[in-house]
Amino acid sequence: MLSLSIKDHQFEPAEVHAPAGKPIVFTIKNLGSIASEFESGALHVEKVIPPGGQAIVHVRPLEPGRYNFFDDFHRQTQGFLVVP
Amino acid sequence: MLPSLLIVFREVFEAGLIIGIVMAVTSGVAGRARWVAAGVAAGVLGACLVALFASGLSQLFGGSGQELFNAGILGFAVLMLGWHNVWMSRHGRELAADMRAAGEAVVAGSKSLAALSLVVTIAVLREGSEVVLFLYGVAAAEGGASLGMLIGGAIGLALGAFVCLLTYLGLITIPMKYLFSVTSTLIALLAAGMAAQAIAFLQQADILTAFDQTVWDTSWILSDESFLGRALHTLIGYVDQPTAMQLIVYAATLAVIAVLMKLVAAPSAPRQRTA
Repeated sequence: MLSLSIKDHQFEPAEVHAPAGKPIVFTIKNLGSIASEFESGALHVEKVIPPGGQAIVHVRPLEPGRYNFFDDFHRQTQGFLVVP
Repeated sequence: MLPSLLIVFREVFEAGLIIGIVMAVTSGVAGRARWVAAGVAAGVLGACLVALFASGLSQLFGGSGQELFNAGILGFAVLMLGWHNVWMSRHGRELAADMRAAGEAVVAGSKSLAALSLVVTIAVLREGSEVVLFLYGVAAAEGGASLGMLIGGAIGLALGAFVCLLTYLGLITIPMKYLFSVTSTLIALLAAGMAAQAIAFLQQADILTAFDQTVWDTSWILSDESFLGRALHTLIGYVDQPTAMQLIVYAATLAVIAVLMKLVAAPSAPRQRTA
């Protein structure tokens, strides 16, 4: 389980790690006052998180690599998932 | 002002492409403006409701409520689009041949209009709920709706509506002879794209895990996030990193619609009608 929060248009932490070949579950808390959309093409996820809300996002097992995710409502909000 | 403009434009643009296609598909059918307008109105209302209950919605079904809701309405839209195409393959010619005054065709025609009107509702609801959530957040953060946000939103809406108009005007320049094949193809691709998108939501909710590996990555040629990538995503379901299941469902949706259209097509279609 990977826990993230979004505050002041930043992911906290901005980089997370997960093992290869295993399903991954993200829990994302939106601590900001504006809705966010947690999104990543590489991770196949797209989820709106209302302000003050929390979202659970399932990601299928991944090959090693560095995967980008972002807030589609505020593109400057970027983060990475590193699979060693 | 600029963020509001961009977000509103982006979402209205996506819904506008679909509305433009529906307007072109139904051109010449009596009462279609009312149906499309009703679809948009219902979509706006639905968007507000979805945004209002966004928190509650996402907590349903072990946190996967949003995914199931999206997959559900997308699946429904696929059925409506598919049904429309199949119906049109039987009755399209009658409509095109100006038989829309015939009682039966009008009744059946309004059924098909209702199906497309629901597709419009779903498109507006999906894109609109994001707009409402976003603008509501901006307004809350700024302690009320600011002039900049309203102006940005209004310009975004106007630009998005313009895209809708361009799509419609572009499509209706196609000669009547080809319009039916072009719009049927567009509707089938729209349906296949929505079906593949529904699959992505089911995969995200961890409900569907079979064939979930990424098949290819074309993000270096055309990213999902680019303007063209987004437009193609809405129109034909372009995804830069599709999973195997998405591709299977995409192809299957196209195949099922094509086969059903062939099966139900008016038997005397190529010959002169005798009615």
